[in-house]
Amino acid sequence: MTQVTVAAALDERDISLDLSVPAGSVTAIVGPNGAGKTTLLHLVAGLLRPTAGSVRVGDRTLSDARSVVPTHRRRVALLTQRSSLFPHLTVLENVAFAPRAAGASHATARDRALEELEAAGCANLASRRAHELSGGQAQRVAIARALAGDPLVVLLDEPMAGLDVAVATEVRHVLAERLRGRTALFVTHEVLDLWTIADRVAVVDGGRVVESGAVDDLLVRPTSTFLAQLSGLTLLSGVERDGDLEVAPGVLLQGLSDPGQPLTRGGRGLAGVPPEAVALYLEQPGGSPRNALSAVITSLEPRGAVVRVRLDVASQQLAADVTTQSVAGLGLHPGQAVWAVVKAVQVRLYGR
Amino acid sequence: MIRPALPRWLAVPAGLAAVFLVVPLIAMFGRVDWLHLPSLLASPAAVDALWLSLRTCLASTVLCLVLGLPLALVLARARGRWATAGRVLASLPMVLPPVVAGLALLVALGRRAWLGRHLSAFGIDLAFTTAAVVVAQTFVAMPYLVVSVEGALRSAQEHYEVAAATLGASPTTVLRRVTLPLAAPAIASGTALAFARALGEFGATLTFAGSLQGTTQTLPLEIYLARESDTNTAIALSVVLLIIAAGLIAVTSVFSRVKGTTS
Repeated sequence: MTQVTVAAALDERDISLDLSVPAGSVTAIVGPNGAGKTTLLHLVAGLLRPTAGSVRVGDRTLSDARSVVPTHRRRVALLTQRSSLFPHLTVLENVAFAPRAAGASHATARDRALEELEAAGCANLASRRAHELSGGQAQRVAIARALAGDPLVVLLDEPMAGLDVAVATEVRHVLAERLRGRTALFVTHEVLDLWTIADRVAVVDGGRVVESGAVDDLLVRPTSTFLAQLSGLTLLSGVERDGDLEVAPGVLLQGLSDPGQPLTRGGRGLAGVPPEAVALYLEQPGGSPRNALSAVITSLEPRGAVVRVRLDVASQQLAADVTTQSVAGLGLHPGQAVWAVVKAVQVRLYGR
Repeated sequence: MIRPALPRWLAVPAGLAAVFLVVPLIAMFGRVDWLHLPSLLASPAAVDALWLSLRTCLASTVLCLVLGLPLALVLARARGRWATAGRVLASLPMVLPPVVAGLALLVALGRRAWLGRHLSAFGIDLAFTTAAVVVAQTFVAMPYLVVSVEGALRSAQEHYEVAAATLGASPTTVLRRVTLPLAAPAIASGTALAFARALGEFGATLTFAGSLQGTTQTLPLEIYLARESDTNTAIALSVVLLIIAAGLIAVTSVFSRVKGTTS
């Protein structure tokens, strides 16, 4: 009923987005900065008008090249990084705003607002003003306010971005609970949001939706570098040979075959390699030649206790997390040739 | 953090400026005939002037609000070359010499003038009537309201309006429940400023409306006319104006502080 279908272009910004969000599912929108994620939300909210194509919710066309339904008649709620609670109203009046705007009586709107505040765990804040709330409280009230209008679609533009980790966790919990069963588009940079809140994920890059599907499929078996990074993996591609993946001529990578999407005999496949499964050596280690890849260091990035070493393996990118001690001990530096040894049990192989 | 101190010699010109601004006011208070103040203010000419000023200023302030507020709302949203031109034109009467403003009104709305002739045809004669006083005051005072409200409307409140729209509020509801309440402190201080400007209006009123006791002779005009013949009345009326002006400034500063805490 409330499936969202976007097939819209903004010519002057080279944006052409094509996405369908099934009714009752939360779709996470991920992608690099400036890729067009917020633009996608604004097209659905009616804050931007497409130059071509259309935006539809259910069987209702919200905008196309000829006509546009104004934002306030779309029943599309928008949550952003700033809660935008009205400073001149109390929390209760803020949450009652949408029911009031829809024509509900004072009493009805108040009951509806209290219900939503209760569900968001902030009924005790009802009489406060926005400036008396912490960031996390304000965001929870904003969630209650957005849902009090019974929106057909909820749009979220990094609502946890400004919050510190503990508070974000709290807000994430409320969102996970309150968004269940609703149709929502959720822009985020956090892989945790994908696992806890979203059912589906769409990757936006360069003004296009480059990939979309169920979270379980795409994060476990990423096919794009962006999703692989988001799930903390680096990807090596190659061709199946005797159950292993040949990532460069004569270089075989052994791993666990993904039962959900196994390698096909002689077919193309991917290896998802977590950086902590890669160890570096100066000399080729003895024993099995499998999983020892000849590599050249491209860069070193300190990350707390470990250093992320970026490697070039036969023109593919691989990353290794090693301790600062071993970086010093081995004297690792960019341009150096090393051997990367990958632990087979931590590598997942799958077909594409 | 301790901010680096100002150089000490700055106290001399700063002190001079303060003295310069305050001395004339103190001197006037010194000249007030406090004993006869009630009877001075009760003279027919003074009562007429006070009453006329009060009525006309209230009327012109209401006109400023009814017409100026919509103009400020439109200008705050407008973009591009025409918007800039509109802003300049709307604030022009602020810097125009009041006599010139009065002359412009006379040329446009006077009995023999282009627009005035058309109004005369409907039996409306503006020049040298109380209505002309209101027109003159509105003309010079409205820019104060428009400029201060427009500034407040243009500062970051767009995200509140967007939020309201996504919550289903129609443009009228957004205006009534979000835009205007958020701009209320600026509207209040702009209204006070406009009232103060209308109250002090002299040049445009004299030029466009003349000086007829009880009809067009407002407080400033009465003070000017009485300054030699009846200095005591002039000073008594001046003190009244001074006190009202001080009250209005206090109102605007209170509201600008309110604005500071909520934004």
